[in-house]
Amino acid sequence: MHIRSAPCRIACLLLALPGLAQEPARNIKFSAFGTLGLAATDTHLVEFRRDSSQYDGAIDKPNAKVDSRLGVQVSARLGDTLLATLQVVSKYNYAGNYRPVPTWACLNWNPVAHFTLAAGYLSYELLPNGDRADVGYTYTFVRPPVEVYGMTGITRLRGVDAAQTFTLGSGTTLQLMGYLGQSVEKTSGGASFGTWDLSGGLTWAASAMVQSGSFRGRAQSTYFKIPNNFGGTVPELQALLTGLGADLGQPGLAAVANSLNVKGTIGRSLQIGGAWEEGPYQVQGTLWHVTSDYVAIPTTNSGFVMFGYRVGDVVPYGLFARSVSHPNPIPDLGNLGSLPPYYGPVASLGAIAAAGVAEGITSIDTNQNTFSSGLRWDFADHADLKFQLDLIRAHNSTALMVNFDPAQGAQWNGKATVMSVTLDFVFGGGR
Amino acid sequence: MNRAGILPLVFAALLGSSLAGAEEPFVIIVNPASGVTRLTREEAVEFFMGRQKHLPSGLVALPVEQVLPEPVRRRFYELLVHLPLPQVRAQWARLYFSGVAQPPRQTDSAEETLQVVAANQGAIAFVEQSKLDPRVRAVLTLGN
Repeated sequence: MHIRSAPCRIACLLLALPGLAQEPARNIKFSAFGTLGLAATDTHLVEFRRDSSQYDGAIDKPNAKVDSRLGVQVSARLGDTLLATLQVVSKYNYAGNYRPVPTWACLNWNPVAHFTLAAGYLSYELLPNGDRADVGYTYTFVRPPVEVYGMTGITRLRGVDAAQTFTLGSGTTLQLMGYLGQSVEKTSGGASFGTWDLSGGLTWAASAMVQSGSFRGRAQSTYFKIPNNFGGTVPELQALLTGLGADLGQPGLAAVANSLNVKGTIGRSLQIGGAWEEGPYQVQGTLWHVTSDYVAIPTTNSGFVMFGYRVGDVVPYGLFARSVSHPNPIPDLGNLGSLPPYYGPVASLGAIAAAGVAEGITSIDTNQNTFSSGLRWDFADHADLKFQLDLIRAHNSTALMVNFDPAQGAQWNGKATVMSVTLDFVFGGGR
Repeated sequence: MNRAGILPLVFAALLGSSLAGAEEPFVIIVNPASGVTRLTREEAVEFFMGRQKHLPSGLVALPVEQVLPEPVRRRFYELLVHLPLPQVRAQWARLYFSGVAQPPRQTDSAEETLQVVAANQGAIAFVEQSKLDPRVRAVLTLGN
């Protein structure tokens, strides 16, 4: 299915609805949501991105691209059991533009009590309390913590999900859910990796969610088969390693070059989180564990905890997030990085190739933590203003801050402060 | 007028002003043919927060909500969900923009609410207790 075709089909279906629906005027809802945001850091040495779907990020001048977004949605109830939804979001992306993409274009079918089946373009639920990452109005902080969600990559898929809900007691439910489909994402890997096309990768996931009164707990296990190799300088590095291997009579270098093919490898994640909202209190947190078969994607553990307390229309909050990566060992390259001078230009190329492999293996590490504090002000029925200050501390290396000039990035001392202000709004979707 | 005549009037006036200031309980109502005779607060939360789509009797639920002045609505949701109204709005935005639920059907008056509930077997709504009439069945009282 072409990426543009499903929304068009859903739109056509929605236009045909008045003839199907019992009460068309009430059953079709048009709505919109958005965030107008400004973010700036205190350094020009690295750029702060919200996640890897963004080409570049904020430096020491305020910019709107990190958090701003606009979404529109049409939903229609078709009788008692079918809900059609089309949602399109425009936000800053991997290519450095705001091209709109479908985040939902699906039919949600509820044929029998407690069972639902959805098909089409679907978005994963990421945050532990069910917040939608694109709809800033639904969550308290300015953006999902980058340590946990900054390298997520896969947030949308083209496929099906099924959910069965069991009632465990008065007001307590257990929902078991499964996803199956293909991803529809592209991410930006900076100069080294270029645009990484993750679309078409087989993805499947299973989740369990418990809702009991004010508490919501959720666990999800996700598998993803990576569909495409990296772009950027990786193919050049592979060609260089293969050529040097042939010239030097070291077949092991060709094997290292092959190991840099990410296509066909499997990524796995396990996330466990919970949220509790009661009266003025808001608490939520999550832990993520990510592993991969691929040599350059490290095993990473991350998590965050957030606490907020509402005073009237204002919610002061604090948040701590941390990510720790355990990179794979750098493959054995023999003496490639220190060939004797009599190899001439080959020695120089060998040193370049060895440095390239070392950088490639460690460049997706995400060793970083952030203390955030902020204020959400619900100044109108369906709008809020947020102010947030993030104190970032990076350790060793971090892929969460990017710079296209490695020499400049190397001068960074691992500390950054991000100041953000956002205006979130929803039209027609709340109550 | 003698003292004996004035005192009952003063008492009646004080009682009247006291009653006018009292906050009236809400009742959760369903259609008498819904097969539902009683709900707990926790069960009622499921319907008004979009988490449950079927009544305990198996009928597809049709949540209905009257457009009310903000202070009244705020009080209802604090009694029902124990959450401030902005939190309720945010939770509904999560559900709606996830493509899994639509907010309750809105009515403009208590009379319209009663009519909708009386006409739909799966309807579930709330009204102030004084609006209750025999066309509907009360299954839970909040704030009494």
